[in-house]
Amino acid sequence: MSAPTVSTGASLDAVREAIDLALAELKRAGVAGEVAAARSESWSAQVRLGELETVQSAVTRGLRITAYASGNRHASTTTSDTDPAAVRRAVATAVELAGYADADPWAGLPPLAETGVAAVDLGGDDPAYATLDRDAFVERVISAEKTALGSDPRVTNSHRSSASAARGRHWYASTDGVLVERVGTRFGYSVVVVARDAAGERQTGGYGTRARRLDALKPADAVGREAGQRAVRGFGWRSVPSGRFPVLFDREVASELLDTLASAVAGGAVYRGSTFLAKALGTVIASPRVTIVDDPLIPEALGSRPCDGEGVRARTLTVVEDGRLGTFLVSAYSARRLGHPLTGHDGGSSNLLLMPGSATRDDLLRELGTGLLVTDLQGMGVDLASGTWSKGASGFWVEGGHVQFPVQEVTLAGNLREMLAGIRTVGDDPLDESATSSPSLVIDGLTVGGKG
Amino acid sequence: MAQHLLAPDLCQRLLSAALSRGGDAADVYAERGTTRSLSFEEGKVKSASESARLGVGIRVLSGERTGYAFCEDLDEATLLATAQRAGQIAAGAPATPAVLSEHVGLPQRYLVGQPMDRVGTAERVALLRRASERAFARDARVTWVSCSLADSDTTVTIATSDGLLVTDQRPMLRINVSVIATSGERRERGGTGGGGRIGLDYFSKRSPEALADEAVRQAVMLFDAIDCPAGVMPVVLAPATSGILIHEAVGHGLEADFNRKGVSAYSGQVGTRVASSLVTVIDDGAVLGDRGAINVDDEGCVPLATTLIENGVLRGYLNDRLSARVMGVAPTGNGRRESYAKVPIPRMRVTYLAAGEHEPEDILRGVSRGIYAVNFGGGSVDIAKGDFNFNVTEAYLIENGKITAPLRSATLIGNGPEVLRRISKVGHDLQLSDGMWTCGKDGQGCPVGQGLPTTLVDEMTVGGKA
Repeated sequence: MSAPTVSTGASLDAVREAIDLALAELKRAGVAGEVAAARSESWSAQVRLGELETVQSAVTRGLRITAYASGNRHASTTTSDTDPAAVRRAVATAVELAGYADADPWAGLPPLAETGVAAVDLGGDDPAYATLDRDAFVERVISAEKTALGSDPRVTNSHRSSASAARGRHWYASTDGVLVERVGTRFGYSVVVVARDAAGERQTGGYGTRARRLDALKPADAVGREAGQRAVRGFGWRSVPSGRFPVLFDREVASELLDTLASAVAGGAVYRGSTFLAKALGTVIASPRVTIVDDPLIPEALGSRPCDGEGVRARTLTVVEDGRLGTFLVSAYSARRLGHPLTGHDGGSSNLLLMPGSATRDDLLRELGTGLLVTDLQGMGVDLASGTWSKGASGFWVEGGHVQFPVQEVTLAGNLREMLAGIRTVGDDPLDESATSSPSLVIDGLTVGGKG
Repeated sequence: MAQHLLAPDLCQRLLSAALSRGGDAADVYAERGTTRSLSFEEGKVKSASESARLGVGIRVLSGERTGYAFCEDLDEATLLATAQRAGQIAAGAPATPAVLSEHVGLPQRYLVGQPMDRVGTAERVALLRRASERAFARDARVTWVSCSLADSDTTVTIATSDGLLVTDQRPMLRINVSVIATSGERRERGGTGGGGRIGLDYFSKRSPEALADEAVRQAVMLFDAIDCPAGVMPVVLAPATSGILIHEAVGHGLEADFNRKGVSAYSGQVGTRVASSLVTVIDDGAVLGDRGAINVDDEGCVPLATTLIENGVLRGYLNDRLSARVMGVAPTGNGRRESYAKVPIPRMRVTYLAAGEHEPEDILRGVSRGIYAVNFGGGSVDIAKGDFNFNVTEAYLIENGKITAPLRSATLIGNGPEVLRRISKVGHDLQLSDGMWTCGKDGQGCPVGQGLPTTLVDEMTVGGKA
C-alpha cells in the first residue's frame, strides 16, 4: 500500500495551460473575466480495531471561469476537464450565460491595487508530504486507537479512525493581468471509539489533530487517551430541571459560537439583511471582555493564506475590540455594495481568534457557580436573521464551583444578541490548532431545557 | 438504454487490472454530469452558472478492506493506473472478473415528461421572476427575495466484477425561494424549496407563486411568534416534512455499516421490538419522481421498498454490497455515493413512517399542552447512543387540544429508541416532503426524500427559551 503514487493526468502544467487559455478566450470574446483554479493530491486511510479498512487516493483539479459582460452582467462555469476543447466550451458558455444576467453595478474584478499576496512567508507547504511513509502514518493511527481502547475497560469498540494527507495548489488569475498562486499541505488523524456500560448503553468519544506540518500533529498517545476519556465521561449522566442558568462553554463549544459570529458579520448576509448584525457596524455587540482578531498571516496555521479566493491581499483585522464591531468580513462584491473597505474575505474568515483572558479553569468554575459546563452541542438551531439560537447540549452540572455529575439530553436556548452581551468571563486557555479558536467562556442568559 | 460512458471491453480490462493482486470484488463507476443554476435576487438575474463533471472511480474489496482511487482523465493508460492503485489493497494471486453482460429493462422512476435540458435560459429566468415578483407583492414587509433554480443531468455507468454492466441517466431539479421580512428592528427569514428527479412537469403541481407564498408565510408568521417553551412535553408532528424525525431517530441507526461494526444503538436487534406497534418504517427507492428515487443504486443494485420496522419489530438494515456480504444478507439497493470521487456507503432513499388509523384532528384534541411542529431546518444523530435532534422552524403551541400561538424556532431532542416507543398515535394522512433534503454522512451529500403522517410523540425535550 505504500508503493509510490502512480502519476495520473491532471498535471500542474495542464492546469496552468488551461488558465492561460481561458484568459485568452475571455479576452478574445471581448469581456473581462477571472479564473479560479485548484489542483490537489490527497491520500486517506481508515482503520478499525487495528486493521486497515479503506485506502483512498485522489488527484483532482478544477477551474471556475467567470465572465463579466457589459454592465458587469456576470456568469460562471466550472469544469474538471482541462482539455483545450473543454476549456473553450466553458468560456463560451460563461459568456453566453452572462447575456442572460442583468446589469450589476457592484460586480466586477477586484481593484488591481488590492490584489497580490501578503509579503510574509507563511510556510505551510511541508516537504514531508512528498516523502510521507504511509505505513508509518497508518501505524500511528492504529497506536492511537489502541491507546483509546486500552484507556478504560468500557471502551470496547471502534467506530472509525482515519489519517489523511493532502497537498493543494490554488490559483486566481484575471484579464487584468493578476496571477496569484498559493500552495499548502494538510495532515490529520483522528480516533472515534465506542464505550458500553453495564446497562448496555453506548457512548461515543472522538478526538483528532490537524496541522499544516506533519511534525506539528499531536502525539498518538495524547489523541488516543483523549478519545477514550471522551467516550466514558458521560456515563452516569442525568438530566436537569429546566430553567435559566449560567453556562460555561468549553473551548471547542465556544469556538462553534465564534464560527456563528463569523457568519453573522459576513458581507453577503449584511447586504441581504439576513443577519441580526446588519446595522451593527461600529456598535457594541458583545461584552467588553470580547476582542476578536482575524489573522490570515500566522505562519503555518490552518486558516492562514497570503490572499483570499479572488486574489485580494490578506491582512490582519480586529473584528471586535472590547465588544465593539469594527469591521464586516467582505468580498470585493459586498465591499462595493456596502461601501465598506476591502478586507480580503472572499471565502470567509481565516484564523478567527477570540483573545484569551486571565481566568483559569478553577476561576471559570467559581464564576459559573451553579450552572452547566457544556462540552458538546448538537444540532443546527441558529437563525441568523433574528438571532434565535437553540441546540442540544451535554456536559456536566456544576454547583458551588464544583463539578457534580454528567448531563445529557438537555437543550440550551437563547438569543445571539443576549449571548454575546452575556459573556461574563473569558478563560486563559491557549489558542489551539483550529482555524477558529476561542478560550472557554462563562455566559449568562441561556435557558436550559431538561427532564428534571 | 443510454450509451455507456466507457466501452464494455475497456470496463472488462479495468476490472482485470483492479483484481491483478486478487480481491473479492471490484467495480468501476464512471460519471458525467452537467449542472445548470440561476440565482435571482432583487428582481434581477444575479448570476448564472453551469458546471461539468467527468470522472471514473475504481474500487477493490478484499475481505472488509476497500481500496479506492479515481481519475478525471479517461485515457486508457490513466484508467489502468487508477485501477492498479485501487488494487494495491489486496496482496494475492490475480482474480478473474466475470464477463460483463448488459443489464436491460431497468425500471424508470424519474418523471421526465419535459426534461429540463430542453428548457431555455429565458424560460428558466421567467420562472424565478414569477416567484420573486409574487413574494414582493404578497407582503409589504418583504425586503429581500432570493430565488434559485438548479437542475442537473447525470449519466453513470457501473461495471462490476460479477459481470453486471448498467448505465442510468438521472435528472434532478431543485428550486428555492428565500425571503427576509423586516418590521422596525425585527428581521425574520422564511424559505421553502422543492423538486426531485423530475423535469419542468414539477411546476404544474407546485407553481413558482405557490413557493413564494409559502416562503413569505413562514417569514411573516414569525412577527407574531412568542418564545418557545423549554422542557419535556408532548409533540404533534405535522405530515410531510416531519419525516426528518424518522430520518434521524431511526434511519441512520439502521444503516448497515454501523450495524455490522456493532456501533449503532440498534445493533443486533433484528427481530426484536424496537418501537410502539403503531410504527412501520419503510425506505423506498422507487417513489416516482422523488428526490430520493433511483433506478439503480451506485453499485448496480435495483432498489425496492425495504421494510425496516414492521408494527414495531425491527426487520432489517439498509445494506450496500460490502455490508450485505459481511452480514450474509441480500443487498437492499442502498449503496450510494456523492460522486465518482467517493466510495459507496449505505444511505437512505425515501424514508417514511407508514400511515396509521388515527384522525389527525383527534390526535391534536387529545393534547392539553404541547407543541405542533410543522417545518424543519435540519437535524443530526449520535449513532451509538441514538440521541438525535432537529431544528423546528415553524411550530405552534397546543393548548387544550387547539393550535394557538406561533413559536420562535427551537431545537427538539430525543433518544431514537426511546422516542419510537413513545409514538402513541399515527394519523392516516401520510404525505411525502417536497424534494429539498440532502443527507450528509462521512463527508458525502446525498439527495433523499422523507415523509410522515400526523404523529403524536408523548414526550420530547423542547429547546425553547421561555
